[in-house]
Amino acid sequence: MRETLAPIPPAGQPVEARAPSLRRLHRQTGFWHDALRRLLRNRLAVVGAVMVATILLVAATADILTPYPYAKTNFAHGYESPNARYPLGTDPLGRDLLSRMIYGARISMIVGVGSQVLVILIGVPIGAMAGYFGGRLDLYLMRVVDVMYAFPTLLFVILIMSALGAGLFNIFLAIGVTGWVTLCRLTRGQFLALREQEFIMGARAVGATSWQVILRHLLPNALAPIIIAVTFGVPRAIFTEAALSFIGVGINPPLPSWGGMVGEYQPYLRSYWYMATFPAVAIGLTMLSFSFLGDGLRDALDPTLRR
Amino acid sequence: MTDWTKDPAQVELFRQRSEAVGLSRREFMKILAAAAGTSVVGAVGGLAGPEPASAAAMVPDTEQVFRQPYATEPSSHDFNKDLYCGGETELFAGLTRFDPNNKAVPYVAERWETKAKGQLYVFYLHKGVKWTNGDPVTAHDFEWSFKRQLDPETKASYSAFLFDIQNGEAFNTKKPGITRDLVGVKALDDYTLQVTLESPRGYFPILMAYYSGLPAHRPSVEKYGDKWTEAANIVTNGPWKMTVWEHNKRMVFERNDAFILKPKPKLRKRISPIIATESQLATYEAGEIDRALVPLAELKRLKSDPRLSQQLHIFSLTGTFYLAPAYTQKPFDVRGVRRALAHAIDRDAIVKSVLQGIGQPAYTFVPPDAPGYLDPKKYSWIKEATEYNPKLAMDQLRGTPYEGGKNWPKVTLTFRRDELAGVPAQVAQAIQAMVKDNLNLSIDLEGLEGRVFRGRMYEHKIQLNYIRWYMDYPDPNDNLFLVWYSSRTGGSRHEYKDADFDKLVEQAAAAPTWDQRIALYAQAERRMLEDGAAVYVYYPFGARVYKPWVQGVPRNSAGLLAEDWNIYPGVPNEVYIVDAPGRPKLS
Repeated sequence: MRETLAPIPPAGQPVEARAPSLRRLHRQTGFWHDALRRLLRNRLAVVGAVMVATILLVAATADILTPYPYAKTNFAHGYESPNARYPLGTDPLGRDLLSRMIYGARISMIVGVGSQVLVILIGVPIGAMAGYFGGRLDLYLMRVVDVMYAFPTLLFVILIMSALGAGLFNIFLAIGVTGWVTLCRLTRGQFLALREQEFIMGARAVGATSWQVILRHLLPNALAPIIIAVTFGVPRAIFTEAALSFIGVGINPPLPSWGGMVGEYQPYLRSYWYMATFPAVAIGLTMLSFSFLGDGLRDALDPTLRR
Repeated sequence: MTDWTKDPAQVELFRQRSEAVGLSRREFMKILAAAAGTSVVGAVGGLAGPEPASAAAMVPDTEQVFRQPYATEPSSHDFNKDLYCGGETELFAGLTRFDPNNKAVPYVAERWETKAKGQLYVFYLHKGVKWTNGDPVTAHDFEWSFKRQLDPETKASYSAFLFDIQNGEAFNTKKPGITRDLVGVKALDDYTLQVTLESPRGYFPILMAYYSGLPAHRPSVEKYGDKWTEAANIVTNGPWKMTVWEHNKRMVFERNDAFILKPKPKLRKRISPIIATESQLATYEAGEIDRALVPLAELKRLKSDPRLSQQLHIFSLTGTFYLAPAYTQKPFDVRGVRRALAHAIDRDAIVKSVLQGIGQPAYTFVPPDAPGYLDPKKYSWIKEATEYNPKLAMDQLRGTPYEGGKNWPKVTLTFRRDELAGVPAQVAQAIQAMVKDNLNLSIDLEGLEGRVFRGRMYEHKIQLNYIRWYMDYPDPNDNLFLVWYSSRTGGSRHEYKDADFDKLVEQAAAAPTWDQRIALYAQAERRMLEDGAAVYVYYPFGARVYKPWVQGVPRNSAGLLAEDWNIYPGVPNEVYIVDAPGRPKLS
């Protein structure tokens, strides 16, 4: 992503700024380059990034990492406390909790990242159209957004899940359908501000089509806030999934998800502390990592906000 | 008096009465069973009773204090106006009461007689029973209370419970010309109450033992209106009186020493904090209450604790969890698949491991603490049809489209998720894993809330149903007729339809001797097992803890604990406090 984005000038500068003939800059210090430098200087953000990377890695390699299949029952070994054979213990069906945790990471990441992809796919185009074309289209689209805003999100998600039934794909859908409005408004706001800028006029003047303006000039310049929003959106989605699975309308068993595990094992908490504790800690750490990273990204990408 | 339980018309009327007040069919049947005089034979293994009454002496009367939590705040204690107000029933004494066997026995009425073939009841009241303000309890109190309950102005939501009383329904539904005076309850004098019924009703004394028959104190109701059951205003006639009611926090009941009827409480005081069911055990362990319900999830810890394990009461819920495959839906329209399912479920593993022994493996429908239980050791066909054997399970698929565990369609198992603190979900997952391992059949799980579940079940829109049946009255008819009999007009629970099975159940119900009946019911069970109509999984138990200083929880005639779990409310009238280490000195 960085490679394609690197040559983009900071917001507000004409495209010509990067023309080699100007040779104003001693060395190339593009916006993204600066941002990365700022990000790396932020320790918490680095910690967050490393943790996010680790979780992603675990999620990606879950099949290799799990000592047992996540759904493998072993009734002779139910309710076992953490031990050498089962490092995080077993559940009432004798399933290995470590394997379920590792697989749960995959589910959480799929839900978190997947639903944000859906959010981007719905939110950004609609926001872009509203912001760029303005007028009646903007008016109508924004009223739709207002209506969507009026629903309490979690309630709406539960409603959708009850209608569609539990399942991974339905969770995407539910979170995507309710989550796009924030991103849509954000994109529209960015586009509204940017489209009046001189470099856009310049692009139009040299004959760029609307699509070219949107995709090549407006979108790249609006990307920073979108990235930040999505980074915060991932943990929100993970948490929503956890909440849904907790109340039993989320992921279908035996597929493990952290929220589902907390919900399923919560009654056992006082007898078997380890069953619900580890997935709860995992949810907490994931939320924290993404928040650190998100904060760091915001500081890095939007220098005007700093200090 | 003839036995009304043999008269279908009366039983049907009684059912309608029960239904009108939202009384669960189970409770209705329990009352019915008690009336019919059938009794439970105990054959349940592994049920831990309380410690036998220890030699420890009862503590002095001033210290007879029992801390008994309430799960929810009552809306009032006015059973006349709202049968299900959730209040304390033992504040009041009705004409009759239930004993630990759920039989109606004399209470405020020391005896009664029937006239006109059971259409007329005359209750003779004990003299000397008093309201807590000193007023005598008279037949006029009952007359007024029943009429109050029937009066449309009272807007009592469950007044239909008294519709057997002549003109009761007509008065309640404001039929023209029917006045209060025409309602068939009349105090002949202070201690004689005559009740005229619409037609003979043998079960009337049972209605009187239920909360529906409790009286209210007229002067208090007239003075305070809806506020008459507040602690400061309430006047009661039962073994207990309420001295404190801090709303949403706690209630305090004290023994009514002026109460002359038996059983007289041995406790002097009951302190009832309002604590949600799921928080009760923690409060109990913190030493703040003397008894609590125990979720299964906590059992292993309690059992392994040398102290708490002594306080555990485990009692049979007299029921059966089972799987019911839908006959008309793929793949269960094939008999081999249903039979394979029976051989693919390892019930021992479920009971021993998942349930930690709180239950008993089930192979047939009738639970072991009910008459008509079929011991699998005695009947070889039970083993042949239900034995856990993965190889046998696969063999059943031979010749079906799913031979070798292939070509399975999508299968969903549906269960109730709002019961027993997540236990059904665990067992459902165990079944899911077993079916996957043994038949290579992947099933999805779907947990539904009770109301939605019931709706779907009676519409026969559940493919593979995991559900329980808590027994209502101790007779195999309760299981085999009510659940599986298909030749009836009303809605049936499952899709199973088999004329021969129905015939066996009919014959069994009508058979003259008990042995003949049991033999016919056994044949019926065999028929349905061999058809794979159901896969019985386990018989569930429940659990409670009592502090060691609480003794005397009553038992029924079968020697099983008569917990105040269903209709018998008498536990607080029977238990008492003994001296035991750790007992707080309360007064």
